[in-house]
Amino acid sequence: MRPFRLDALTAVDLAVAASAALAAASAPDTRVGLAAGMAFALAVSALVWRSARPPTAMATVATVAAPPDDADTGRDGDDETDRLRREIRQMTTMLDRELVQAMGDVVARTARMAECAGDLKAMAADIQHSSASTADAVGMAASGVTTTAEAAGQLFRSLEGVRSEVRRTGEMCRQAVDRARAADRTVQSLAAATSHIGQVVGLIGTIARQTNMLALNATIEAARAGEMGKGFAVVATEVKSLATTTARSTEEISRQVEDIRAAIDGAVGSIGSVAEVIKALDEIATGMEAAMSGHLGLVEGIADRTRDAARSMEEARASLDDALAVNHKVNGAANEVDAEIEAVAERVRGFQKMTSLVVKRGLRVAGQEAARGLGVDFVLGNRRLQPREVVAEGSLLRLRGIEPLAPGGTVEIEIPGGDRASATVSARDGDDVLLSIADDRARDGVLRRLSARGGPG
Amino acid sequence: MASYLRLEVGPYYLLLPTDEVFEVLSFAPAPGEPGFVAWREDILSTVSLRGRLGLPEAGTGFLIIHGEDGVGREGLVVDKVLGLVELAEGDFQPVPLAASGARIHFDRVWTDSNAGRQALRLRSSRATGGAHASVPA
Repeated sequence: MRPFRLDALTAVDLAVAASAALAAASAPDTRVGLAAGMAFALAVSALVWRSARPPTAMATVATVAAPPDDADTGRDGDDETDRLRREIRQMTTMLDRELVQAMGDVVARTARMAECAGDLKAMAADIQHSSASTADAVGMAASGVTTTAEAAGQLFRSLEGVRSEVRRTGEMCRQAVDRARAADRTVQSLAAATSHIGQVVGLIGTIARQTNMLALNATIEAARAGEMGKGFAVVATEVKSLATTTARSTEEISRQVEDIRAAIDGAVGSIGSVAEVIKALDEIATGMEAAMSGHLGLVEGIADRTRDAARSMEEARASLDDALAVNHKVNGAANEVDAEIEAVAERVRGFQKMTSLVVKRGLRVAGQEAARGLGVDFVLGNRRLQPREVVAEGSLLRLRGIEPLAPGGTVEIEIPGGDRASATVSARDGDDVLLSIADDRARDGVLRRLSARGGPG
Repeated sequence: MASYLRLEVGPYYLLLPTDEVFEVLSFAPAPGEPGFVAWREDILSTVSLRGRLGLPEAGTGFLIIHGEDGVGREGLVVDKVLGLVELAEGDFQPVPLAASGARIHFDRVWTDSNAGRQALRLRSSRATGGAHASVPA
């Protein structure tokens, strides 16, 4: 067994296994990925199995890629070997295509995963930003609510102070009403005293008028008495004058008493009005106290609810902090995923490069073996050409899968057994080269040799 | 109620309110000093109701000092001062037509049932003074 045959098989097996692995990596569905993974495992197992087989079994496998050294062993064996060569070439070509396509898919999906990871990080950043803003807003709101709660507490205490003052005002109003009533009683007593004074003054006035009349009578009698009554007339006149003065004084006193009584009546009315006003104030203070009690209850309720709201805000902020921490972890995970994707991509690129090299190497080896399997060698100078396939086209030979050759060049064709023929590079057709063999006999020998190997047909 | 001086002047029975009456004096006109009288270091003009009523002057009578303090005070000369009486406004009646034409203002008349005669009330002390006080011709 020749080592290169085993290498070719190993490359093909590796390509198959890589294809399965890539299918596993690119499969969106878990079950498909699992199946592909199993295929990969089977391929590896087959490789191991093949590697572990005894040499006889491996030689049998090697005939699939190339004929044994002795090409004349048998016609049936050669045909089977050529058919296996062609299948290997076809499978290698298909594997190459599948690998290229699978790698493209893997790269595309990896890129898509990277985009998703990028989107995830962007969303995490947005969430971070929004959550930070929300946390700030919640913090400010919590601060405001706390301030409001404190203000409500202060308002409650202030209202309590106001209620106390209002209560004290009510008590003072009631005291003022009592004092006003006492003043009213005092003024009423004063009015009664004044009325009594008026009565006394009236009595004095009456007495003064009567005295005046008596004095006038005395003057009349004294006048009647003539000269004898003159002295008495003087006394009577003086008495009358005093009585008149007394009467005028009592009239003045009466007027003063009337004024006093009027003033007292006014004072009584004023005191009554003041008492009424104070009573109204007392009622207002009582109403205010009741209303203040209600307001105190409301403010106390507001303060309680505001404190509850502040606690809820704090809880919300704590929850938001937790969410921020989780989001931070998500962002970290997204970064890790991104890094992993990059690592996978790097590995895929390396694997793609490696598989490409393996496939190319496999194809080249397969081509060499194919050329070797043809039973003829194509030599250009000191270089031995290794076409992947040789096809007869009339008098021309088409060599596929070799490096470009300049038209006009001469290629020596060596046929095992000593025969040789010269061919000229007549044209290039893509990756193919067309050879022209001028010597008819040599051309026929080459074609026969190729036909015997099942090559050109 | 108000008090009045009951007076007589000739045939007239008169009532004078005592509000501004200061003193009642016996009176005899001094010769050569008609119309004036010395009273308490003051010289007062006198008014004779006889003259005002168109009666001839009598020799003696009474002088009633009345009026406000100062220039308004004067002496009223009557024949007799009968005394004092207190009457209510309702005790008076309107002045009869014959007397209402007198040049002295009599505003009301009171029937003195004890004396059986009617007394004419002088409107006021000042109403008796002045040139307008007269009786019908």
